[in-house]
Amino acid sequence: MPVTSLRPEMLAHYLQDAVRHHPFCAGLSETSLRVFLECASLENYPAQELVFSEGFEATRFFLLHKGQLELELFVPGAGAITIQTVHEGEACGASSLFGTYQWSFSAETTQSSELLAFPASTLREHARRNHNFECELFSRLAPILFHRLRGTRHRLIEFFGTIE
Amino acid sequence: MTDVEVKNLLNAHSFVQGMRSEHLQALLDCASAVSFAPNQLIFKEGEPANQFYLIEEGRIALEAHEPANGTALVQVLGADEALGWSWLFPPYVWHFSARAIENTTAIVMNGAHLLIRAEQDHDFGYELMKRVAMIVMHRLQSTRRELLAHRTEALCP
Repeated sequence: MPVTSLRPEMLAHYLQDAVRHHPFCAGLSETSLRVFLECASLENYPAQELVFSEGFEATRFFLLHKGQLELELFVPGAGAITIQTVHEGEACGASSLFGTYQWSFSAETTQSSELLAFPASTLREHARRNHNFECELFSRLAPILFHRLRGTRHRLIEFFGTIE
Repeated sequence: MTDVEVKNLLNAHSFVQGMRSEHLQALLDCASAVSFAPNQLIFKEGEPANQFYLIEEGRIALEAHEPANGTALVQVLGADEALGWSWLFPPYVWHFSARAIENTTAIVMNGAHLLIRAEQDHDFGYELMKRVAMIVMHRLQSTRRELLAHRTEALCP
């Protein structure tokens, strides 16, 4: 039975528990954790479903509660190539909080998945107003970006081969 | 190069734009000027990472060494760009190699020193992390475009 068919109060409890225990939220101050708790929603996706698409406006930040995602890049003439896999307990959607707020990748589920979704505008607004929240958020995002850049470079080198 | 000249070079770099003077001073405390000759290795993949570079002039190639295939060009970096942040994240070793393509001048800062300052002054640490993260985001968005461009160049020079 999908959790979204739970009674509303049970669903709220399930969601709060999932956010509170997600590794991304480990060590957050109680104030910052409350921001995440108050704007979280639960999204269910079947396998092989697109969660977001490269190039489109990035409006949500995600924590993967259950399931698995693949991040893909579209390469002209070659189609979609997989850059990285996002596992349970990991985050994705940093593009919604940085830069031009456009998705750098497409994300597709490889199995049925439960995602904790957060409106990026709410997180960005809190980051603007509260320096401590901003620090806690961005210090958690930086390693993710770093990891994605490495993954992307390696995958593209593998794909295109060496050029010297 | 005198301390004042290093300070002027640092002040002119877009990485520090809008940075508070005490944070700028923290960078300056471990900064010196450095130059590289064409083809000179700046750092090597797999070795401990402890430098942060702000390029003043010149061009630097970021290279990956794939045992089976040889060397791949990852990206070319030029004037006013930043290079090297592996000292910020575990495992603190260079992920790629960097080599000067032409005569290149840069400001180099000591990563361990920056990390210690960041530990003592969380505001500075956050400022540094945020600025590096912004660059990483831009690199992420430009990586595919640049790789495609270099490949096209290599195939049809």
